Amino acid sequence: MKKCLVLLSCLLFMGGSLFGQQVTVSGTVTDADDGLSLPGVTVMVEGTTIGTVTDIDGEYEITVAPDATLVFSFVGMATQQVDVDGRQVINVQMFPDMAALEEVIVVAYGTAERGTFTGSASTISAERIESRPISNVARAIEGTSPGVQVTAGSGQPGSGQTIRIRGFGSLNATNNPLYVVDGVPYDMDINNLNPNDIDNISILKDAAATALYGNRAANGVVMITTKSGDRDRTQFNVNFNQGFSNRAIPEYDRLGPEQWTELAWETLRNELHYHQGVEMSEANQRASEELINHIHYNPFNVADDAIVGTDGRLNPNASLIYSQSTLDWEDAVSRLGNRSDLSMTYSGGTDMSDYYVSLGYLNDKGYIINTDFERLTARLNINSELRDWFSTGINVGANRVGGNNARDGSTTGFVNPFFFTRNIGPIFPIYQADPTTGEYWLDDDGNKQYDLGNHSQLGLPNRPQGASAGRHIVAETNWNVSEWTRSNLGTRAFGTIHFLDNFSFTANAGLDLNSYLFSGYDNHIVGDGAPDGRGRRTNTLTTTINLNQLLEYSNRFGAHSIDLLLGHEYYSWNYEYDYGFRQGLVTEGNFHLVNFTTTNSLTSYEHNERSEGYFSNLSYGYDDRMFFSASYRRDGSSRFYEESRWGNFFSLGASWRIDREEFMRDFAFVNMLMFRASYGQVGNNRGIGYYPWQALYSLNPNANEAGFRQASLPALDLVWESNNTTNVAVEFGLFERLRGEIEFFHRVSSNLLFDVPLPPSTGVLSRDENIGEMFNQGLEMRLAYDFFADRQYQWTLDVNATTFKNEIIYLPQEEIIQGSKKLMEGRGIYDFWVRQWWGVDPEDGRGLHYADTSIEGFNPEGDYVRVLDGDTLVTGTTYAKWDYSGSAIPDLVGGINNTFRYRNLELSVLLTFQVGGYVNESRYATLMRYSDYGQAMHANLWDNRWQQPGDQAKYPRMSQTDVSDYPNFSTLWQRDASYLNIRSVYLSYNFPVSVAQRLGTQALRVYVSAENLYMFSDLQGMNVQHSFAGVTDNTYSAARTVVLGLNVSF
Amino acid sequence: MKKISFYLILIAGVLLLPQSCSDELDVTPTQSVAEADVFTSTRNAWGAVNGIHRTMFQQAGSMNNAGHGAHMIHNDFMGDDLVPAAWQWFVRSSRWQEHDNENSAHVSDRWRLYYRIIANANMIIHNIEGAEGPARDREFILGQALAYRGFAYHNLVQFYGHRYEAGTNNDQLGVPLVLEPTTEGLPRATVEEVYAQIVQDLDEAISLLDGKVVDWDTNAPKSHITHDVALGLRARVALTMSDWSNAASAANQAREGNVLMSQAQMLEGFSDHNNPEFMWASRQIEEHTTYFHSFFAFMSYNFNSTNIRTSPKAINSELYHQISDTDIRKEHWEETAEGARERYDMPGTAVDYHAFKFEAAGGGDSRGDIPFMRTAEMYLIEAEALARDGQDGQAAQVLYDLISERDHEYELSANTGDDLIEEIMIHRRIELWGEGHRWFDLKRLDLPLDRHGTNFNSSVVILMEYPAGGPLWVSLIPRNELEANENVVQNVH
Repeated sequence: MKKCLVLLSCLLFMGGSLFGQQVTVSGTVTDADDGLSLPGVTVMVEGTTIGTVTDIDGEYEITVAPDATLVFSFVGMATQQVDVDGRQVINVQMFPDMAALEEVIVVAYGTAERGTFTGSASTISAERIESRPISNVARAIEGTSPGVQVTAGSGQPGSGQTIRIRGFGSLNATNNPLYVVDGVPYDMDINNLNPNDIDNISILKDAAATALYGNRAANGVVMITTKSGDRDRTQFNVNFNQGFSNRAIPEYDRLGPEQWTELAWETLRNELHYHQGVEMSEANQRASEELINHIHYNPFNVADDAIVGTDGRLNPNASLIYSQSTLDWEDAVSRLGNRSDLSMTYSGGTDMSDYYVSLGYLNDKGYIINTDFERLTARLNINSELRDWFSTGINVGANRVGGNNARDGSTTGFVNPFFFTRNIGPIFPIYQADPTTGEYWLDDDGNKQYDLGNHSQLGLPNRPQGASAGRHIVAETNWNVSEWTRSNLGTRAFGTIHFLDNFSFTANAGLDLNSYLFSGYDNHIVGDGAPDGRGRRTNTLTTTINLNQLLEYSNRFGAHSIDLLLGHEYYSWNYEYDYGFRQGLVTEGNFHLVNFTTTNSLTSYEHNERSEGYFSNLSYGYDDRMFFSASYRRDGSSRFYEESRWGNFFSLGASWRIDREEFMRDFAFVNMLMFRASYGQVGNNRGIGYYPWQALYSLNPNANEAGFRQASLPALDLVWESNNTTNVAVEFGLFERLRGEIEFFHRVSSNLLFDVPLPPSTGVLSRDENIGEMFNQGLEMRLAYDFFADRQYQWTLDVNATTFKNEIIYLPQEEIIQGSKKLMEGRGIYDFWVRQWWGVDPEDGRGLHYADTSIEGFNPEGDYVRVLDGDTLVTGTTYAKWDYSGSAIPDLVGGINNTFRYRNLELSVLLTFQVGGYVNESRYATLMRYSDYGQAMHANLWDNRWQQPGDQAKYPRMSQTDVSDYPNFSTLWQRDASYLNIRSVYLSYNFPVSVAQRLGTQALRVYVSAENLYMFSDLQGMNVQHSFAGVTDNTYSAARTVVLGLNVSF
Repeated sequence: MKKISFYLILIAGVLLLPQSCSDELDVTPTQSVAEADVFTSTRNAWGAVNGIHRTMFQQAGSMNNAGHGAHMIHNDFMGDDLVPAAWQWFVRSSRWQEHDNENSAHVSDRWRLYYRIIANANMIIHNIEGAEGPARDREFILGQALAYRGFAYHNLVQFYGHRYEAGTNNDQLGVPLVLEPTTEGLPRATVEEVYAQIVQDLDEAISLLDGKVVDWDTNAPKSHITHDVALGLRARVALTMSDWSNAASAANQAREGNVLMSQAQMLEGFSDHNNPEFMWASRQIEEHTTYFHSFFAFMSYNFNSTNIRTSPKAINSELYHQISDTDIRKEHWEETAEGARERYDMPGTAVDYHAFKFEAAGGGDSRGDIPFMRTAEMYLIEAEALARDGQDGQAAQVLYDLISERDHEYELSANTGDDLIEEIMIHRRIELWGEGHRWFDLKRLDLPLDRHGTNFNSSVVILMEYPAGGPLWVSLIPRNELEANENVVQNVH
């Protein structure tokens, strides 16, 4: 409508320009972002009322004086002034108005103007998503929004990152935010979505923003909106990228065969001398003779009893008989990952309707063999205003996702490639090779054969226990199958009726279907499936139905505006599970259950969850300066007993646009200044099981007889956990260049849902109860500065950072110990509770912790007690002192986003960082403790272990027995968790329109994009971001991805 | 006007759609049964007893903690008869490191297992009165529950409590005596109190189970506790209490009507509940999915697991050499690794004194029925009790009745006094090898652990000897109990 008026006015004024010496100027106006032509751009002659607008192809023609100046303007774009200078062709690129703060954000049940919204929200636009080689949309969030902390996520292709918004609100219930896709909660895996289909992501953080999703929004809401067509622009777009991935965090630095063998010798010698009382020279002698009995393999070309001399040095004549490639297990399960991503979209519209159709195909092969992710997506989004009183729309997303997973679920599983390759000593060959010459024993076809440790009759030893005896990760990864596919159909539909001028009624319906099939096979040659082979299939079907009805009233009386919303919501979730497990493979290559002989397990069950809610919201605005909103919601959940199932939630919010006040007229440099505050309460009921209130017996048949066993106790009083958030913020824009916001939040979680441990002697280990109270309090900051913001050069630096603390206010129990953490009043959820390490006794190299002399049974005369430097210390852990030592929560976490643009070239670099906090590095600890012969050893042992009396060493003497002196959960393994990660780099070039058009396209862009380029941290190999709790694991380590891409529009 | 009414009708229609009733918010699980339904009838309550039977061999926690069977293995690893070849599952028990660590899974899972049996038994004992059905059904169910409670406390007090010392008032600490369904943590009762309760429960169970047969127990699977099994449990308890006369008489009654297996059956792998000598046994069917946690996944010679391939079990060489060559039981082990390899072409390591007593269903199938009580044990209890009671003649005869079945050349023992007791004990060790008695025997008899001069490898088991009466003869109480139950005090190591 507005455009029509402009057009009309332009036509009217055209008549006045036919005077004096004139030139006709023409050209095309394009959008600098995507290179597409821009229709509807107003082109005015400065200082006059003469002007025109660009046509459907973005072209314009205007007759002006040769020294005139043209002014190009368009909503959302920075206005440009261009001197004609006698030229006849002037092509213009329009840039987004960086200072535009009045952006529209997607919020609960609608949209809001950023400048009037009373709640706290961050947004991520399509361009920040589609340019990145991420297979999971969740990965677009890291570093872009203050108040959000993420884990690194697995490197398994397709996997996402775990997200925490504003700290940790719950002890046992979920801390995950609610995902909402196109206005309806989304319970399926977010990696079903094609990132190219996403128009924007809004992250709603405070109660004023989330209260309308009150029953599930305690941990914030991630609103994902898919693209829709543009009514006056029909286009066909192809985006293709192709690239590679490898391991982002390199493996821990471990000792090579020579040094490793010397330390194995030293371990044995120390065992003999210090633990079995063998005299030192004899121990040296025996260690040299007996070493082979412990490491089993002799990888050197010297006699078995002469690998290491009695001086502890490797025999100078020794050289490796195996090639490097036969000893490198990590290399054998790794490859260069390969990623191809193709998306095609077709979108456009008419006066009444718009449409968006897309097809996408992604094939992401991980850097570990046999791990991949494949996705085929289709989407159709249609919106239509059929009548002036009726509009409707439907979104359909269908996709099939699948792949092979690495079996990294169990951190110490022999089938976990990371566990296996990280911890195997460096002397064990992958392939069968002659133990004296190192030459491969080839099979009849001339292929190398895996050394499975079962050829002792041929003279091949079996690896010792520490080297995963009897298992073989290369063979097992190659021969086992862990294949899954998911077929999804997600539909969203709405209809809105406008009536009585100010009323509207909307009905939304969402149906999500997810069919999952897992097929697993454990081979019959080596590993868990040997000797019969076994297969399993899991089949699940998840059906989610979301229905809501909204009645809205909206009106303006002079300076007053009022919006009222009444709504009802119904949610139903059903999960059907079938599982079969059989063994005894009949014929090779067919892993269907029919092809096995014996049934081990065959079962099925279902889960159901339902909830219902009524909600209302009232918004009031005065003179576009002051805004208030209030909402109330009442929800019932099937997880609670009928008498306690309903919870009430509410929010209040206000914002004040100070810059729009009279008294601000004089401060022209203030482009925007807003103060806002909110308080509200939202609920949480997820993550605690589906039937927590019910006293149940689980089915437990005994042979062929029916049986059941006590499983849970009743919890009739269980109610909603609630989050009460106070939020205060200031947003500002200054000098047209600087924008920022500072936001304070205080979030109190009460009625914490907690699985309270009961004394095991009562027979049931725990019961869900509402216990305790906890708060998260923090400050979020964001500052963006445009160093350059003109037509040719743009440079914007956008920094965000968050600091917060977490503290338990009240617990009914004095303390609850969970692994390396202890929950207590006044302490945080991730405060480390670990043994207090003192150091190494210079006399004999024993590792010592401070003693806790108050432990019952402590005997000051005990042989485990040592007094050094006036401290009472102990060997072993029984009397070791435990104490609080730091927290896994960092002091500061955030992102730094740099965007440079020079003409058609754009470079954006996203850095993410964390300052402070600790990691309890159990993976490193494992490599630093030689508990079993055959295990890998960390390179830090070489220079830092105790070797002889008087050594001031950081780490104790080599010993198998003593390793229990320094287990995990000790300050010895606490590492600084600070890091800086080059998270994403994006470089693109938009071909000039003339070039693009000559090539038969409307716009053409090439780009290079990379993820996880490099991480700086305290220790190579350490995955600082593995978990919020500051622990590490042997899971699939994050991937680095680099792709080259092409984006063409027709 | 017409238009407006059209809207109103439409809106009213749509608004009515979402009407839902609050019943919608009631959902029930499909994998479980409401507690309220369990004790409505004796038929249902019988399901609760079966749940306990299953618990006896079900994995709960780590892989080496599958029910009572797993703790039978732990007990033998802690003793001096079973020799592990390499550092593998259970070896920390050989080193006596598990029960010395209040956080170890072994310590907490064992505690959990028997207290779980007790809690389920308590639910039955507490609620059976209200179950509809014939009185005899209720008595049968109650008898089983009481027997289980006595059995569970006996296992708990022997491990976590101090040794029962006959002739003293036994006021040393035992374990908490939980006799009602509760969520409160109770303090540790004295050893005397615990044994008094065990005896009371078992005596009541014996009388309730006497002559009981119920309709739905016609095929009487071996997993159920019969009158004989309850008597057998009573005999075990009396033996621990050095109550020789009750031990002898209960064992004698228990074995009455029960037979010994044939020599051929001795070599069938101790894994079939149909074995006539099994008085009480688990029954593992395919659907129970035994994976790697079954008793036979660790104790058999033939299951193809990393554990068995790399750390086969052997018998103490000194004990082996005391077995007569004509004794069929000598076939349970092979003296040399070469012999073992000849006997079975195994995919892994073979060792001297390699055990072949237990056999899993197959190399890829760890199933097997665990013998919880055999007739032979009753003979051995009776013989030992009689001998310790000074009735050498009768003792030698009972021993003869058993051993002559195992060794046709065996002759009635001429030994008397300590020599006879020693002979009985040697046969007890040979006969019950791997069935979970040895550590409790050492403890009840106040003997030291001595692994010297045998095939025990000190670098594997570390601990080669431990004096009688030392603090490690009692396990630490698990940390999770101490944390949730302030009334419980820890043992001192």
